[in-house]
Amino acid sequence: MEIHKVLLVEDEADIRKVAQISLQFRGGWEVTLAADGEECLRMATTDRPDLILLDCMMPKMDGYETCRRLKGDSSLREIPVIFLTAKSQESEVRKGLALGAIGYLIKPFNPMSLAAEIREILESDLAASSQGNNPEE
Amino acid sequence: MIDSLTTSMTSLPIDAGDILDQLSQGVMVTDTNWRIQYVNRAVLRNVGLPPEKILGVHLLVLVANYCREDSYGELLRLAVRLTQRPPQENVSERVPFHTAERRRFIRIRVQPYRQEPSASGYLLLFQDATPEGEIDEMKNEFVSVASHEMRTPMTSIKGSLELLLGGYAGELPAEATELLGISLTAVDRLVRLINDLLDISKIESGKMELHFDRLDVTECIAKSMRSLRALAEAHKVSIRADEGGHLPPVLADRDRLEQVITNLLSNALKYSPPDSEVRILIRNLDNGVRVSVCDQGPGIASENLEKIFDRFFQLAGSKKGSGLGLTICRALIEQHRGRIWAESELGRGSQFHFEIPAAPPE
Repeated sequence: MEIHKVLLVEDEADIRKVAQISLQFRGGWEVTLAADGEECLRMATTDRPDLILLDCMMPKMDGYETCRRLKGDSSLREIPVIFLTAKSQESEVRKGLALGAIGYLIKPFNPMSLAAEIREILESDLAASSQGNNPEE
Repeated sequence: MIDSLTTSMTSLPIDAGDILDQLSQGVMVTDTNWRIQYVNRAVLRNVGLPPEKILGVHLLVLVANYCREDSYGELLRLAVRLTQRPPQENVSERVPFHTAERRRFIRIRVQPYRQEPSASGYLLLFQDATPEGEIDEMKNEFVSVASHEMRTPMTSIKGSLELLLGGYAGELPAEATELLGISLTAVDRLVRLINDLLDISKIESGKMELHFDRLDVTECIAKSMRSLRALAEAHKVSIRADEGGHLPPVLADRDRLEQVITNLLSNALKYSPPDSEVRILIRNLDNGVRVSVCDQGPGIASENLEKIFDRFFQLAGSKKGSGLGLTICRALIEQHRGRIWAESELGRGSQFHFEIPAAPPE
């Protein structure tokens, strides 16, 4: 799937800025921003992205709950979600994948390789789902 | 001389057992095989068993058969762990011991005792350490909050430096690149220090949560080796891993096991002379797996082989670090019910070994 627009959901303004630059500079993508889960749901509806990068730890509604709601909405369900999480939360985020996210990225991320890692996740997800469409006997 | 001492001891007007029974500390004596020879009343009260169910019983059997998770069993389990460290004069550790009624801390001290000519064994003391435990809890809380708060700005500093060095602002003068490079190295070091501080505060406050899965140790080793490839190249050291045949799966926390291996491996790399080799040996024990990381570095003097696992201990001339890496490794491995130790001779390299039990059959 071709990515044009990424919705970045992160509550820390500085990290949001660095990630935004990184996605524009290295990914060549258009980036829209949300500072929390509620804003994410709103943005996803009004300005539909091709991919959502979702921080796990946020005040009000955390990333997991946000993901649950995205996947529970038939009009938003198809948008791929990738979690952003701290290294210490890695075990937790693996469980969060059951909510329907296609992968996760570890913070602190390297902004020079973030876009490449996202492409890798998208590709392996594509490979996995095309395998799923051709069930082997 | 000895005779007269013995005489004066036995001529105490009261029974030594009575004195021990009046202590609030728990006192336990075992033989060298960890069979319990004596317990005072404080231990009996806490374990809640009559003496005949304790005396002559192996410490591990007592824990396995009689001690519930929430009782004295946790303490005795720790005592057993302490005894699995290389023999020393005196080992002690403090643990939280919270019951429904009270939050307490207990310090367990294990020391060998000798009674010539033949009998010998271990003396275990269980002492109340609540005041120091509470102060440490406050310290851990502070360290944990402070480190969390420091991590976020650190992430944006690091990211910004990487973007600048990566050409986001166009080509930079060589001087700027050099200074930014220095800053990035320093930030990376700070991030590692903060992570170590967070880990140690979690470990000490008993908040380190492990997520156990059945896994193959070699996968963790392969991942650690990949993550250290650049460091190995920078030090001109090669890493070779030798698997000792078929290995049983282990029950472990993947991230934490990787962290231990990465820590041992990066230490080995940092202390290795250029053009040498670091070897990783993986051995199948009957009931577990042993991993050994062997380097050809300067080695460690025998009197420091245990001290290097202490908090903040740093060898003279050691590479800069938090002084917490091995302390964290030991705590993590012990939480896997395993053990970790070092062997070395000055001038002949060092070997760090750890063993963790195999996963039970599915």
